[in-house]
Amino acid sequence: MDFLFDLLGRFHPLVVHLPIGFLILGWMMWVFDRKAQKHQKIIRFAFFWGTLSTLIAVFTGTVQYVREGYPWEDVQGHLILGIATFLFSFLMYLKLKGFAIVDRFSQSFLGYALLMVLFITGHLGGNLTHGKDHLTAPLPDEFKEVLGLEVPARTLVLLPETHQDLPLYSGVIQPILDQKCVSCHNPKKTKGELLLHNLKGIMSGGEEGAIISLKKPEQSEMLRRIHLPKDEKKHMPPKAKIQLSKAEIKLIEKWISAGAPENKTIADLGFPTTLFTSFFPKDETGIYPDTILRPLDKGIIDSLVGMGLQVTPIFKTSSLLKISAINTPDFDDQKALILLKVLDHIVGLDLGQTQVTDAVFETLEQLKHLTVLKLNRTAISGDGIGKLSSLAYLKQINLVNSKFEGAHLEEMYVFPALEKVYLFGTPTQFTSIEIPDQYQSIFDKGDYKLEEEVEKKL
Amino acid sequence: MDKIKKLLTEQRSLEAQFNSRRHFIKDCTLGLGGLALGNFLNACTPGENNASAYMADRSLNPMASLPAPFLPKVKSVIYLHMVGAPSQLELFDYKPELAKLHNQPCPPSLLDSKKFAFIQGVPNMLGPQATFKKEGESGNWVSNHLPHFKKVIDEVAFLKAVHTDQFNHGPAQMLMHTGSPRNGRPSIGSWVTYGLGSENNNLPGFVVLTSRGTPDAGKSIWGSGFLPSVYQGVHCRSKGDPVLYLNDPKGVPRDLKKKVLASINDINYQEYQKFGDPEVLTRINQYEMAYRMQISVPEVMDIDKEPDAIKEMYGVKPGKEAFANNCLLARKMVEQGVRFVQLYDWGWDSHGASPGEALDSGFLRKCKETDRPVAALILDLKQRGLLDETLVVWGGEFGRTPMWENRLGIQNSPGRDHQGDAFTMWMAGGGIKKGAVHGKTDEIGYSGIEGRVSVHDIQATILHLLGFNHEQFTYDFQGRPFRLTDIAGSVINEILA
Repeated sequence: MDFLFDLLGRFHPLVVHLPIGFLILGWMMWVFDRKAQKHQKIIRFAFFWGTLSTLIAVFTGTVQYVREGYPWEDVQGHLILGIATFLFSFLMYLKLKGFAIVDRFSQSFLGYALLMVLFITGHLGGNLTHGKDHLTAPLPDEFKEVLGLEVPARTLVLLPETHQDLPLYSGVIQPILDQKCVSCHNPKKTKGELLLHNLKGIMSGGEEGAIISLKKPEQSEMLRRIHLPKDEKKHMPPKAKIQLSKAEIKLIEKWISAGAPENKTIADLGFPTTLFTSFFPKDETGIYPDTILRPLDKGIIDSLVGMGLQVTPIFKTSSLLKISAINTPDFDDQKALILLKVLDHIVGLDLGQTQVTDAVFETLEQLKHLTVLKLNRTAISGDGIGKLSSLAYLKQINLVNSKFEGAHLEEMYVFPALEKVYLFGTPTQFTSIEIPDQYQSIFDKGDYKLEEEVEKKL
Repeated sequence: MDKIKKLLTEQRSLEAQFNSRRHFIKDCTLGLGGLALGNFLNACTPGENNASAYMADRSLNPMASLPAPFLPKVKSVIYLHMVGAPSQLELFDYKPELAKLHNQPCPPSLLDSKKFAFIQGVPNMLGPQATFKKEGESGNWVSNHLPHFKKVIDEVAFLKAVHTDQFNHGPAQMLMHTGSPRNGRPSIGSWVTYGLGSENNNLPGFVVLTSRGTPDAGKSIWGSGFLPSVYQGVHCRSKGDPVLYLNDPKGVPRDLKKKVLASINDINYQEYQKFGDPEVLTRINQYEMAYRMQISVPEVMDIDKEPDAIKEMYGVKPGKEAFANNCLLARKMVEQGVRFVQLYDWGWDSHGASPGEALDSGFLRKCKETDRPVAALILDLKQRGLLDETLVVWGGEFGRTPMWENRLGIQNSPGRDHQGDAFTMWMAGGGIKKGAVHGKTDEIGYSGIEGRVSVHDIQATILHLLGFNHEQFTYDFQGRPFRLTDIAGSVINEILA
């Protein structure tokens, strides 16, 4: 019949709301009626039921605590104050009844104390079910700092240029621990008697002994716990907390294998940069210029779209644009002038399969952030392509199946950022031009062939 | 009585007010709708290609192109699925130890607690039915069955320890393409076109090309599941009419068809205005698309006009349904801005139960049929500057066992049973680390021992390269957000450049 107790305990969350309602209502009527003293009977009625339901709440709550294994340190405040709520409301009831035993307390003391205890008990109970940060989580970080609350650690960011000079421990390892471990292993809250907020703590270990073994680094308790399956109780960080990333685990391993040094820099230890790349700031614009431009008016973009051009940002929140004329085969040099409306914002431009000719270079040379230019299947012969030499970001030009002539190839040698030019299917003859060695890899004529004879062998 | 009269008049005037308001809204919205409709019916005009604001508006054109949430590495995907599951042990996963065990009985430890589709009793081990060589600057292994592949091997990143929990074709294909082994989820191509739309207004965003038959899982693996049906794959045929029923019936001139379509769309649009059901837009859009495709599809699907050198490189078979033709078509489609091209090549189920599915006969024919076109596709994309912005994925739905199939206890021709614990896939193109190898199998290629990746990992990686975070790319259905990768998957950073 044990289950009856369990069932009873489960009613606690339901029952607790009764005393809160009864007592607050009783309290409000008591304040309302304190001068006129006309409704004492109904006020006593409220406090009677308030007291009784508090008793039931305390009882069911205690049953739940005993039977369902809540840790005492979590429950203590709620339980003790719950009992206090019962006492105060009972005394209040007796006082209202006019019993002499409670003469030493004034009615207002009992009333206000009861309300306070009730609120705090309720709040602590809410913390138990919804988590301690339930109320404070939505606050902005600045507020939390003022209130002395735990502010979520900012993620570790290393810079490609300077990371090698950082001491591995204080520059990388400790920040990782600060983010993901220290919230439970600090002088205030020391789970497993382990401190991870400084090197001394790490080295002294926890209640089960050392967590780092310098003799057999790979058998260190710290690493064992990290590598345990996530569902195991001893896995760290616990399943419900933010986990260590693969790169972070790797670095902790490397640091322990290197003897957990305190002051050695990453350069001293000779760790390769690849270990740290995942901490570098994300390259959001990739091959495109790393500039932030004022977003364009919708009206301007609409005018381009109205011409049939496809206008899309390179990604959702970027102001840089890719424009394609794939749906307007009749796009020509004249129409290309509209591009000047957004000349700073264009980084990718596809005018393939349109009517544009060499005259379009006059327009294109003004698109100062242009990075990728596609002119496939056009009548472009390359006359005037040299005008694009002022484009500091132009990395790729696709001229596949255009009429590009080899004579204009050398005009592109001076392009500052040029990496690739696709010339497949153009009249360009590489054999007749001598391309200096340093530019050889830029120009790709394609014309790849597969061997014929392999088939016969089969 | 006066009072009642008064009440009735009031009631009537109220009703009239209500009516006129309703009338006003109805007429007015239809008027506005008509304006928009006029615009988009213009797009019907053949040749003129009047893409307008309508085409760029998602609420009117569900295929309108959208930017990816994050900077994409590629804008298109060509997914080469070898239906039936090619043997990794005869193509890429070189296992000399397995050769030594050839024809020895399989140790029971390998069979315990394993489920097979066909193996019964204790089969013998089957050594690799191929010779292997390290090729290219990367020095990665490839078998003698793929003589052309060595030319592109340095472009490719191998995943040698892919695993799946499905060991029958249908469910395994579903898992690979929809993220779930059961019916009802959208395919990856549908997700991608839903998220990014289509660049070319005259071509579908998601094209499916099949050779030698339909995949076992049926057409649902290019279905749109719970996404609006406009995002399902359009199955184009490389033989005969590219899209069935696309041509006008005899005696119906194109301008008459245009008028008919305009009227139908007009009615449908009124329906949409009334009920706002996106499926109505889908219908309008499909009529529109079909009309425009009548011109554009035959053009793109016509491989005859390609230069001879290209046709030779792919080894195309004009007028026939062939994987080589489909590879060339895939390149042409990507060139024209198609978002997702899905190729299925049927016939890789090398059980050894008959010559057609034996490793020493039918399998070799499949290798020969696909080796040249695959290599040609990568080279052709590369010379056109398309490989940087396209992702090419190659793989089957699972792998094959290192033992004979031993169906009914008989060893006929060399053949292997299904197995999902370890198989090889590869990716090439934008954002992929060239020549990389991720994952390693045990000495006989039975299980992954390092770098195991799941089907959901592969999907997460494809979405990542297209600019999505697979955990944030969701669609609300039946009261909860769904994603392609369900609740699993992580991006395979090891093969990313």
